Amino acid sequence: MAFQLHPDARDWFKKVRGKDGKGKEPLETLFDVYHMCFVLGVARGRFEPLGDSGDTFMDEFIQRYRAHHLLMIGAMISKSLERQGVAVDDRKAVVKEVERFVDSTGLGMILKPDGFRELNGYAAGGFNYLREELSGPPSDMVFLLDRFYLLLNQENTQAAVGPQL
Amino acid sequence: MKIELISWQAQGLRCPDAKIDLCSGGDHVPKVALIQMPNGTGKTTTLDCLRAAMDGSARSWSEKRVLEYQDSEKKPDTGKFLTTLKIEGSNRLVIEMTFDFDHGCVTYKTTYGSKNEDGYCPPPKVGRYLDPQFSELLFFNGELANQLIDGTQGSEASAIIDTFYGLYHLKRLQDLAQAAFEDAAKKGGRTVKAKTLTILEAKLGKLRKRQGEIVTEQSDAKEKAAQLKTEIQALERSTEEHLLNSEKFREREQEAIDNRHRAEMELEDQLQKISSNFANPVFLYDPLREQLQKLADNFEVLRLPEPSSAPFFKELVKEDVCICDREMNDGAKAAIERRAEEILGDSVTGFLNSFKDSVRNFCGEACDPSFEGLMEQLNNSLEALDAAQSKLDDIRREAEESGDMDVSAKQEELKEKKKKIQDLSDFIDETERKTQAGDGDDCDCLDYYAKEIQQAEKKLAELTGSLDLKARTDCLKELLDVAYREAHNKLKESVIDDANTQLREILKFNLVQIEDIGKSVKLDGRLSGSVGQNLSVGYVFLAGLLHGGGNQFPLVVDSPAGALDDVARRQVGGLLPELIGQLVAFVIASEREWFVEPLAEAAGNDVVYLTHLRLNEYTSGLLPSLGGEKVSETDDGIVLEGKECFFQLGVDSVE
Repeated sequence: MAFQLHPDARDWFKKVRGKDGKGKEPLETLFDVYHMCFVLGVARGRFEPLGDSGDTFMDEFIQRYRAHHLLMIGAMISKSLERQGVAVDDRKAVVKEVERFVDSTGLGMILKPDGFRELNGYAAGGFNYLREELSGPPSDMVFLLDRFYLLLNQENTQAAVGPQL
Repeated sequence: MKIELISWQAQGLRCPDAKIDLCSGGDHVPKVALIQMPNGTGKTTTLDCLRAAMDGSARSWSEKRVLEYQDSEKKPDTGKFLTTLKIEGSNRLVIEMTFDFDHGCVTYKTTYGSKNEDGYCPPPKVGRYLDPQFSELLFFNGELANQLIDGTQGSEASAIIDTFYGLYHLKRLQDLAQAAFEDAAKKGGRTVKAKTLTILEAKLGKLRKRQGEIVTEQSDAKEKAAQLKTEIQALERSTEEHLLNSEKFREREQEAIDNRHRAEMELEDQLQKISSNFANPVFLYDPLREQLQKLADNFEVLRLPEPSSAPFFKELVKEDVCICDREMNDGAKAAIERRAEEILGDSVTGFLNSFKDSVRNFCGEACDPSFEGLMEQLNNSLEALDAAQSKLDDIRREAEESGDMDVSAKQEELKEKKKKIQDLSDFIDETERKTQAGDGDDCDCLDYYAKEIQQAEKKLAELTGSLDLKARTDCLKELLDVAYREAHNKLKESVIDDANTQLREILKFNLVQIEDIGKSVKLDGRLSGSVGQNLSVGYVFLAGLLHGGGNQFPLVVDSPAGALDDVARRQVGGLLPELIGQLVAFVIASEREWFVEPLAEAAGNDVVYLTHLRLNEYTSGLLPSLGGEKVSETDDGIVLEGKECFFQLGVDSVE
């Protein structure tokens, strides 16, 4: 299992990522695109599993994300518990969920296939949400960041009442 | 691989009979060999023969071409050209070309070590580097440097990288795989109506042809768009300069340019700040901070023991006596085992403890600067940039209305170029979009053709009963394609980085940088450099490749300083030995000034100076005043070695 983008995402972000896919700040790598979509998916509670259609682009956290990757995983666990209606103080359920997603027995922490699937699902949900809200693929970085910021923070009834199942 | 050029010898050809030994009879190969051949001495013949000796290309020369190399006075039946190369610093490879002027053909003999063979047969490890695509690049001239930059050379500049690193073999493998599949499909095909197959094959051929055409058109469109972008920038700069020289607009123009520059700097700075925090999800979405803290606090409540606790209790129940000295009976064992189950395993505690650390480090306080604050600043900078641009547009409009023909013409040209770039961009978008309903064989969408070809190939495979082979062939082709693209892009980046590092060193006063390598070598923000800059970029680009990956090849250069002014000659002269392990340069007397001294100095005076003359009444008269050591003399040619003699030729006389 690996990190996967929505199959249309690479193409959709093409214009803001520059020629040869060599990114511009802050979307320098495909992982940045993934992270943008993931955060939006988590913020708006959009979890949309990819099935077999994902676009695999990386099989581990890249250097730039090593310091913050546990926050990404924590956000994913928190959202997953919320989605299943599990309270965070339900000891057994929390432990079960953590065990489902990660394994830190060895020297480092590794994501299990379910962990990848869960992260990928939020990234795909975030991408779909972005695509629905913008009239077409973005061609300007500042414009994209501005929309992203607004979409992250706008009041949304769906988010207010709970995550989409 | 290290290949050095040692010597060559010509006999019965258009150039005078002579032996040129770059090592002066010894074993040391000098860093630089300067060969002075006045016009008419057969420089072109020598260069052609050297190249043909290296790549074996004379085997396919036409009769007419072979006869062009015959000594026109003596009209011999045969001619010879013998080239000696040193391989990996020791073994000698001798390639002998025999020109048969009666039959109009060239035959080869190859000697490597003690092995002597008829034909062109360098050992395989060497042959790879003597491939015509490769050896073409070992023969350099100023024209090739300009062509690399304006994109008019024979092969694409980026393909040169493929050539040097042998990436074209991956493409060849793809073609071989496809050909093997098609061959197998034809041979082992189930009996189907020949007409059906023919129709399908014709359709496939047509689709592939159109796909190829679109790929070429797309590549051209990208090149043209990049060129137009540079032209637009140049036009905008030129309009600005024009208006800055106008008394009426100078002040306002300068103010608007300054404002634009400031806004651009601020935008860049804000984007950089966003970028450096972008990997932190809490920076992007502050509500996550609270959620993560809550999760971490709850983990704390779980009172997690040390990671070794669970295994410890599992081991404990195997003992006869507990650590508290009580007997380990069945009841105690069951109680301990039940509790141990509740204690978290290593796989979970490791994560939870690290996660709590992460939350402590990154979720304590709100991020400073915040995403919100930076976005506000970014939008302010964008507004300032728009305002500055509007002011500049107003000034141009006003200048046009006041009858400034120069601005009018430039604005008109800009409009045209912007329209063209838009059309090209629309076409590129069309080629790169995904297939949509209504697409047919008249569209320019590459995705459509790829899918149609895939379908047709599948159908063909079904008809010929080779579906499994087709799937495996496709898989192999895709793997090769991914390998090619990844290798090509990484190598290209590395070539650009290395070349730019060297260019920063050698063109300190008038820096140019390589922005990209596509069909041509694109310079940063300009269409072309000066002659000296272009030559420097060409040398740096090729030399980087010639010496990449631990390889070393000779670079044979015709007229290395021909079109350069004195400043550029010094620069290039001082640069070449830094870049190239073995430089063999053919020069004429007028090129020596300003060039040879810095070249020799940079080579640590490891230079051999050779002067090659055709013997006739005039040159025979010159010989006593030239001096130098005769290293080869025949009835129509002479080779002199020596620095003084090299510089003496042409002084007080006309070449």
